[in-house]
Amino acid sequence: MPAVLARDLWKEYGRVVALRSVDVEVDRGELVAILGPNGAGKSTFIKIVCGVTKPTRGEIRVLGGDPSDPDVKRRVSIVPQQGGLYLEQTVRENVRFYAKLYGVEPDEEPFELLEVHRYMDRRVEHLSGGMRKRAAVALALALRPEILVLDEPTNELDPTARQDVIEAVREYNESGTTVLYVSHDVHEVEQLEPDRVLIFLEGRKALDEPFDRLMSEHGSVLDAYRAVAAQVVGE
Amino acid sequence: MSWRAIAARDLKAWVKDRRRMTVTFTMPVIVMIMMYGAFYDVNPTSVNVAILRHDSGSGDPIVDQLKRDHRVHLIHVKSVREGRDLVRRGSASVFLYLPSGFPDRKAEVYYDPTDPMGSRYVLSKIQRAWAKHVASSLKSSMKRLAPVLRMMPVRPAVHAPRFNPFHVRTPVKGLKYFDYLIPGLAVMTAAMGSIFGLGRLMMEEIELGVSYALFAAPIRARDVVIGRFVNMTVWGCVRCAIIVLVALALGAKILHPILLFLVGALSAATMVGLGLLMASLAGRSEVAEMATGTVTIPMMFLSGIFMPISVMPGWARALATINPMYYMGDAARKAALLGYLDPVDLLVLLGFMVGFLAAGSVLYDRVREYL
Repeated sequence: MPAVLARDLWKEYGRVVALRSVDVEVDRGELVAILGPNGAGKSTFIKIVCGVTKPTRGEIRVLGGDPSDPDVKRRVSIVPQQGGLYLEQTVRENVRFYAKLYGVEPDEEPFELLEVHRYMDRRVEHLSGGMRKRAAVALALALRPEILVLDEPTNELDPTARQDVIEAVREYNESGTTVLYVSHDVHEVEQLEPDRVLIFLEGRKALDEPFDRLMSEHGSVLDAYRAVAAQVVGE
Repeated sequence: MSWRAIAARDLKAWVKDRRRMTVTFTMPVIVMIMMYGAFYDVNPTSVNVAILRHDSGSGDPIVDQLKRDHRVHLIHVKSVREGRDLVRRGSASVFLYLPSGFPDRKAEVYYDPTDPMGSRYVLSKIQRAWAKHVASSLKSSMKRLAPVLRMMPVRPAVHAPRFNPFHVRTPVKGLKYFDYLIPGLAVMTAAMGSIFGLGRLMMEEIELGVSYALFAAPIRARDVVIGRFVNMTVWGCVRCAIIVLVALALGAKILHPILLFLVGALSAATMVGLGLLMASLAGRSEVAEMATGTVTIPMMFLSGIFMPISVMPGWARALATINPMYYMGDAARKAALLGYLDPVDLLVLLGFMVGFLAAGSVLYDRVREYL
């Protein structure tokens, strides 16, 4: 049973078509990078995977179930683009709150791994953008998810912090967590070295290739991206 | 029971936030003290009255009455034009011209419509003084006629009616405008924070990605709504309780504070529903604030909380029947001053609460599409 199975997935917002017949299969334990420009449909795709919204048409199964089912949601955690933390509370209070909603005892390890433990008792509003992002990633990992979804988690991060986040994500992926990593930065994807790269363009899955093959065929993620974009424009 | 987790988080966050707590506890006190200072008694404290006399003393009862009144300051003018100019420029609220031949020739009372309180006060004083004068003249005429009447072989059936045949009673004596204002203020304070507070909180959550995380969490959207509803209603009750306690400390007449508090709680709950509805409709914080303000300000002024709706025109009274704030104010006043919980008011408020919450919940669930 795959971690994520999407068949002929469509999402429409009125006249705007955000996803057009997308087929994706993600195996358990895979690390998949989802790349694309703004408005390409990648965030819409993960919104469906996380059960935030439903597709207009098509089939979506997450861990074999309906992603909007609370039992499935409990096994998936997300790092939203904006972090998803309450500003007026400390990091620890945020962790307790989300852990209560997910019904889990939070894992302390990610906070040490991402060096968040030093400011667990500081209010989020007093933290820098980078510290908040680290805290948000650590929190998502602390919920012991089977699938971790990260929506552009390294925005606002300096190179060191970005490397730390990527290493933490890789470490958890190696221990069995399935990871969907959304980004619009080709260099970040190269740094991540995922198992597979999906490129979304204009609501379609324009490319779905193992990272190694992509690198050997195109030399870089940027060249692969350019080739795919040119092909889509040609069509 | 995820709504409990949401409500508990919100409550804890509120209690731990010193700035929010300071505002929660000090604002109602400041508002009450200001209201007490400004509106304890709505009679004007000082009114300028321009006066021009060409009469031969027949207007004395009126002028004497105005002179005795410590709120009235008389300005003697030399011409009708000067008197009217003073009113037009706002230097006097009323110009009184007593012409020669008064009262056979009518006096002129020229008043400033932009100062209804002041001018109405002076008009009532003038009319009352003149009515008193007429009544006492009648009385003395009757007295002078009495010997003549006694000498008549057949006495005409003359019966002078009592000058004041009314015995005025009220369930609550000596109410000031401040007392009238308090019940409305208590429910309004409970409700307003709920409307704006919930909208702001929801918009902040959308902007911080918290809404996204909550929609992705293993809870139902309605749990979020219920949790928020409980928290906001609790704080509405706290604000209402503060207003009631401060008002009592300032000597306001609240004969049934517990009933007033209950109406305040229901009002807060109703307006939480409206806040949820407005915020879910607006989708962005600045739009939510503008829309909420646009809806609530007319609601407030057409609620009868500041002025009874009996003084409003027909269209405003008709609007009041679909205005939840009217029912809040009406229920609060009856509860606080008469000890009567009006079932109509309460049922209408309950209906609004359920309607707002149901519509707000449906719209809140749609927010997920635009995250």
